[in-house]
Amino acid sequence: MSPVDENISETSVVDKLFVSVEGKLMRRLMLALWLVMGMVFLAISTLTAIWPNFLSNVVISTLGAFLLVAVGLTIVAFKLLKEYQPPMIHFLLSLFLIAFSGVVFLFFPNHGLEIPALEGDVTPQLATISLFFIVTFATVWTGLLFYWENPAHNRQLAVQYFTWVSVAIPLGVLTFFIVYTIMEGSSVITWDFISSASDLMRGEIGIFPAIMGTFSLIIGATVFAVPLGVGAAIFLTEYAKRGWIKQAVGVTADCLWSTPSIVFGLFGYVFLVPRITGHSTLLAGQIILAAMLLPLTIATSTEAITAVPDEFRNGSLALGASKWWTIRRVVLPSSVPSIVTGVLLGVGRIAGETAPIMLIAVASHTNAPNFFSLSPPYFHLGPLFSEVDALPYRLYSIYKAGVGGSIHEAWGTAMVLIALVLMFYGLGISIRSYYRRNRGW
Amino acid sequence: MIEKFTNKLSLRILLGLFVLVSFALLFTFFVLFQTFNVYLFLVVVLGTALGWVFFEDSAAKTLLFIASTSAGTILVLIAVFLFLRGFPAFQRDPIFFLTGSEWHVYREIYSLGPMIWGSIIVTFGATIIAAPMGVSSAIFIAKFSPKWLRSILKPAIELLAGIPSVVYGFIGFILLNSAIMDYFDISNMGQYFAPSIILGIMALPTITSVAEDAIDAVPEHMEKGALALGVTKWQAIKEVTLPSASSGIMAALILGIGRALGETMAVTMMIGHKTAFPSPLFDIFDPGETLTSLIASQIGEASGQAVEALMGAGLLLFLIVFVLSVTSRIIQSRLQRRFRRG
Amino acid sequence: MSIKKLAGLSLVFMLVLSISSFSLFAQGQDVLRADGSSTVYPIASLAASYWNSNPPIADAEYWPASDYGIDTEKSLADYWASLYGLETFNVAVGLSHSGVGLNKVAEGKVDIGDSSAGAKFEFPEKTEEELSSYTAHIVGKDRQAFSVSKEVYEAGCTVLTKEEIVGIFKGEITNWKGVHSCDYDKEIQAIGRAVGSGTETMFRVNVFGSSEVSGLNGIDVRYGQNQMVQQALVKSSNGIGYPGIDFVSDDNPALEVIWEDGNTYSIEDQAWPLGRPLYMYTWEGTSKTEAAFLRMILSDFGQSVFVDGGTEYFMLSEKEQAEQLEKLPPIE
Repeated sequence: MSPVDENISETSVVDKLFVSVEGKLMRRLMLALWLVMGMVFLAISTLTAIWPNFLSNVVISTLGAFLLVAVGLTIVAFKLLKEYQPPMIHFLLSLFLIAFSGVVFLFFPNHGLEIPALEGDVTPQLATISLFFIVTFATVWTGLLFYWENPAHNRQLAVQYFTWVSVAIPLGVLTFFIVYTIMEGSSVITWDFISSASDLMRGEIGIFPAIMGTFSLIIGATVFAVPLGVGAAIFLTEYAKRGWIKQAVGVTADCLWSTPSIVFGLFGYVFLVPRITGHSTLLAGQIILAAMLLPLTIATSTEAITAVPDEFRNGSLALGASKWWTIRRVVLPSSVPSIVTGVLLGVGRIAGETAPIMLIAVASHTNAPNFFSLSPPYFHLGPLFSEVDALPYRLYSIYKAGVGGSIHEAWGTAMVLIALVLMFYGLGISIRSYYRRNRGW
Repeated sequence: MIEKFTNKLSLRILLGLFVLVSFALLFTFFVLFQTFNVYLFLVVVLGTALGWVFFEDSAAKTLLFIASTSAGTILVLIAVFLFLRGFPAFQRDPIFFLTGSEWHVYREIYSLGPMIWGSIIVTFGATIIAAPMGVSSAIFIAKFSPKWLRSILKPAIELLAGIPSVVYGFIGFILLNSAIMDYFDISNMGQYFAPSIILGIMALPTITSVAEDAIDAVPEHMEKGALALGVTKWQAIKEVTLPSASSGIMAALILGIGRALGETMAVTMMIGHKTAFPSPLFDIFDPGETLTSLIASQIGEASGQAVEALMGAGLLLFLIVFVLSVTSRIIQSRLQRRFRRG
Repeated sequence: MSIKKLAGLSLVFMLVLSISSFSLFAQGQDVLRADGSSTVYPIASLAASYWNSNPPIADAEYWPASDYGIDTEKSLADYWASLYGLETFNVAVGLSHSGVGLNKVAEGKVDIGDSSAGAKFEFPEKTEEELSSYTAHIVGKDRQAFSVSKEVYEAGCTVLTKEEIVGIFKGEITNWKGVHSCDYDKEIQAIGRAVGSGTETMFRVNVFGSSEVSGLNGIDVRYGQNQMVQQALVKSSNGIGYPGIDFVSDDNPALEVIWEDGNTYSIEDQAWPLGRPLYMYTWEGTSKTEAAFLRMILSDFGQSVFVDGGTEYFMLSEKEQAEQLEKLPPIE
């Protein structure tokens, strides 16, 4: 092992224990135990695959539990295995294990699962899980062996490869989701679909009210949340002298940020709805979404304002400007792009929220909220106090009750929703990168 | 006397107090008596406007202070109202409520046992998927990727968090549920397994971005020192960077767990809503219910005791996530302090 | 004080005045609200859609007044509203469950509570007197189907006895092999509805005798709405569920049943044992606005367009129709 190993790693009691000769023996014992367990289990699953009546699932699950224990032990063993170099044969064995379980897993999925001769508490799925575990652990084991077997730079390659794969998988999933949604959804996207409301009488379906509803929800949420959030951030960075105030606001904002969306929904249901008209209203939805947007606004604004160099402030103060004037004319303008970015990303997030508005703001088949009219007083607040439709809710209600369209319209709605979210994210991210490149300081 | 009153300082304080008291009254009326007093509202707005015109600096400071309490106020309101509405459910028979195995609306028997267990299973499954992948992708983004790639990868991961959960749920329901049913030859659609996978993907960006921040926060000179000793980059990362960032990574994992635990729509759309323990207990291919999906699927139609029980579930969820996020915050601030000192 | 500040101040004044005056008079738009059962929803939403579209008399495709012996020059909604001397108003239909609809109509949150089960079945604990404030309007009739996945039907499981149905939902029969009519070796996926829905209540009442029955352990998954039950049946190869007849298709066909009287019924039969009326409840009598909308649905026009044409449900017989119209306040 590298010299760094020796310097950095902490010596624990266990480490000391295992340095002795007996310790070495114990390590080998554990390794051997794991190997034996693995082989037995492999044999069993193979037999089950070929001959379905071989074992009851009770035995299999017991073995599965043993396997878990064994794996735990192995991990401990490897953890302690600082100077131990496993022979080549382990590596080959593990490769074999992977290949074999892979074959069993892929080509005999149903054979391996069905244990039809058994009655009662039979859960053939357990066998599958166990197989799944074998494959996973065999892979991990091989990875570990590869890792310990080879010279340092090979390990480096292995790790790089592994981390690269774990970035690629989620991004692959993301791409797949987007592409799949576009493929399924694009066929229903027409101008009429986007720009008109549903008309059951004529059998036409449109999501215009849902689009307008989503926009009114997020605009309202932004109007409520941004002044509060930015204000809080200014107070924290410019006025609050004591650290604990910052800590307190930071902790509350964090908690608010990770509070489950359905809890916000419940809160709105018991707090806002009885206080605003008693039924679902756009206003209640805006307020609750604002509460969800608030912590992110506080966090990003604090970051943005802290990033403004002190020279700016000092320069302004030295010219005799008051503190507030300095904040308003110097600090805020320099941090606006970052704040806008943060808010845009947050808006992208709340635009797709369903759980909080489901109970307090939405109803199917409502008209698009219309705040303006051609006759006096030209502007009215009535829509704030009635239900709206929203894109995520529309998608949910199609899925749930077939209201407002068929499965094709659901894909279309999902596509519009994703496009909307992507738009906000794209806007936010491009503002950020533009601003980073052209920042004055 | 009159001169004293016209003194700008005391006028400022008087006005400020007046507006603050009216605001407090307005707020109290709203919270306690469910009324929104328009006259008080007018007083507050007009008073603020006057204050803004005549004493801009102090008015601004006061307003900013009030803004900074907003997050805390909302949090306290959530806690109080969930407590008020949900506590009766706990009070009746707390042990049965948390560990019993029956949720029977027609006979008004409510216990959260199966749902708590369901939440544990689903969250555990999601963590198994999200934790290793999240941390290792954070390592890749922070340490192995070239700069240009990094500037693409980070927003892409953010985007993963931006896809609405209702879309995840929809795609999961259409593609994953029946695929798993076919492939594993299972007799039902709404198992714990499918939402676990989707939740794993959904919790991943949280873990990645927080862990990436933690890894990035480790001062570069520490790693450089190790590199100078002739070790490979991975050895330096493993022995120097990761141990230093370990608490940050821990915080990331906790946040990820909180995210998976609180995720609602995707689970609600994919799970089978069977309010009973799986049998055997760890059978992830049984249909079930989680705390969040229970609330989402039943609150709309609940009345009487059922509402209390659901509020109790919400309160439980809120408390768990609260503890999780405070823990992660403490871990993170420790980490920051360490590096500030070092 | 500068001009700018003065201008700002007056702007704020104006804003405050306008906002406060609006919030003083701000109310939801004048609408008739209905909420409740997803089974009644297709009728209610279709009727509301016609009502809100308000097609003129010239648009004979959608407002064929003369076909039903109505002599008027008015648009659809105008005509029905004018019967009670009202101006046209909008109708909004929400979607939840029968129990919710009944609760909301009692709390005054909606005007009409849609329900697919009678109030006495939804609230077995309430007394006659408490229930007497509900005014029931039957707008159509449904038959609850026993629907299975296509694969099950094609494997020959087309007839079930009542005992088998009870056994399946109680968890005593878990494999399709246990059903007498077919030889299909697959575990049964029993799909239920959310408790509190009228479909669930009527299923319990019709099959088990009471909504408070316990031990329905065979139900694997529960879905909130008929649509999801249908989706799940179509996507599975082993499912059985009990959706309303509107949610049966070629991909999830309906079964025949041998009931306890020994007769075999098909869903097409008048005497199908799981028939049930579909209700729209009003609270403490029926107001003019409610009556105007209900009269449209109960008329010959409404019955044939919203119940027979728009859905798979069954129209009221002429006698029943007359009875229901009798319950509405007389037209002016």
